[in-house]
Amino acid sequence: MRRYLKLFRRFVSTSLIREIEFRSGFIVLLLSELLQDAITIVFFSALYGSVATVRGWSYAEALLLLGTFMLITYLTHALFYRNFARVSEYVNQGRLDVLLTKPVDTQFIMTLRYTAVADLFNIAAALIVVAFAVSRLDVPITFGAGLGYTTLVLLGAVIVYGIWFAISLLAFWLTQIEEIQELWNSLFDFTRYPRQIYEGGVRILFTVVVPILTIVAFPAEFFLGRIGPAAILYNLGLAVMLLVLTRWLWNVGLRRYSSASS
Amino acid sequence: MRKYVAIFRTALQQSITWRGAFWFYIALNFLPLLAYYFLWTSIFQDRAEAAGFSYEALLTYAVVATVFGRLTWASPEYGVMENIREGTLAKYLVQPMSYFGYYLTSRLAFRTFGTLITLPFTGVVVVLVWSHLMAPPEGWRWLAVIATLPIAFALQFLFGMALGLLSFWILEARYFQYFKETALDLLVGAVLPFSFFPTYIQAIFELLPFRYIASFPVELYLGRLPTNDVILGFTMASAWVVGLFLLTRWMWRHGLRRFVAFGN
Repeated sequence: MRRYLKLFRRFVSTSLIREIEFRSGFIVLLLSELLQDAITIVFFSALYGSVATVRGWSYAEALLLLGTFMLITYLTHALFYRNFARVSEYVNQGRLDVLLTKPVDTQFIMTLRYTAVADLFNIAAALIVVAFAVSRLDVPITFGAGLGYTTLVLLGAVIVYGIWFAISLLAFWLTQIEEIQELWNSLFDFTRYPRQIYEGGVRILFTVVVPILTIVAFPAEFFLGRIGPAAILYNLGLAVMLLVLTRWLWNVGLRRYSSASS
Repeated sequence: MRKYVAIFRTALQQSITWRGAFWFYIALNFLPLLAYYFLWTSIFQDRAEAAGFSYEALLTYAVVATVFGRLTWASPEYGVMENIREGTLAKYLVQPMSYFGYYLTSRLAFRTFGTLITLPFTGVVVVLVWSHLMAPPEGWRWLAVIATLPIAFALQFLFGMALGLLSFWILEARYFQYFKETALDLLVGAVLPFSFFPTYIQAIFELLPFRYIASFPVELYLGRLPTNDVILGFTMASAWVVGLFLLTRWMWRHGLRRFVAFGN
């Protein structure tokens, strides 16, 4: 365990050196991600100009949901994005060989090798949106609410890891599509809106098959006092289940892997 | 002319080779429609209109805007930026054809194949929400809507060319690509109809050329634009096409003087 922590620290520092080297690219990427969120905020403000509530969510509450969405997005971008974006390359160009020979767990290097410290900037922007939303709400800010919110945000990040990694692992089967992880970004966008809007088959799909509906909604709803500690247990169970499932998928995929290099 | 036919055929074959990617990306572009469907259905549970739109009108707006966005998507900027940055532009300069003509032809071929793939997605969506979809109130609007397609394609193409040619001056112009796709969604009116915004923002949106890509065709389709505004819109859109064409030609002539290529 200590060896892995030490390795992870090294990963962060070498990634940071890369970022400083290619700083203009990183800055523009950060800004363009924020522009996307700014447009969602414009969308919500324009929409709430004509509508008072959406399934019981007021404007301030919807902003809390959006801030939480941004927080989990950038937390997971900082830690995983640059790794999952490479999975297809590892698999299709045979670069996985090098990782397989390392004396540590391959899934660990593959999914945590490249971090992006620059994303801290966007995490700060997300916190500003959350703080702004909270300041406009009249719910009591208690220690319990804050602790539950933080726990659920972190559990959300773990669930994201599970689903996103599973989608990236499709690279073992769908070799033609290099940017398969784009699918994740498009799916996760559904969680910007209150989960109560989804009905019927789509609700079942997003609860059972691709369980994204509770990732962002639960932290926000817990903070608002709408759901209790059972929500934490639910997301904890989901996170553990997904970690076990992706471990299994990873092993199955690896058996399909045929090196492409010499 | 024959050489452009050959370029068209080659580009078409290229797009058929990449059919997996075409399916994937067009499917991704249709996904947000699902969120819009549920969002509008929720909002209209206890109301009959929002910002002057009925449930049916707003749903139709989202569907038509998504389909049209796919039918007119051009984006030559990826290729142009790479040509300038990597110096592969030299290869096109020595060939006896117009650089603009080459990109226009190849993007037309991509769009032809893209349209083939957009159709089944459109079919599925139309069947799913059939009972809520609105048709244009008058027959002539169908023709007018179809006439907006080449204009929207030309605008998308010229925006892309202008962005791509920026690489002559700013080597890392490729980073602007990220902004373009995101900002365009809002400015063309694909995210939300303009009438949801305050009037002064609407006035700005209406002065810009972007609205002719989504907002104008869809409002025309829905019968929200009176005949006079339709005629004015077509005139303005055509003027923008000419203006952007002149701008990109100017960028091309002046930028080329700055272009340096090494190697072969």
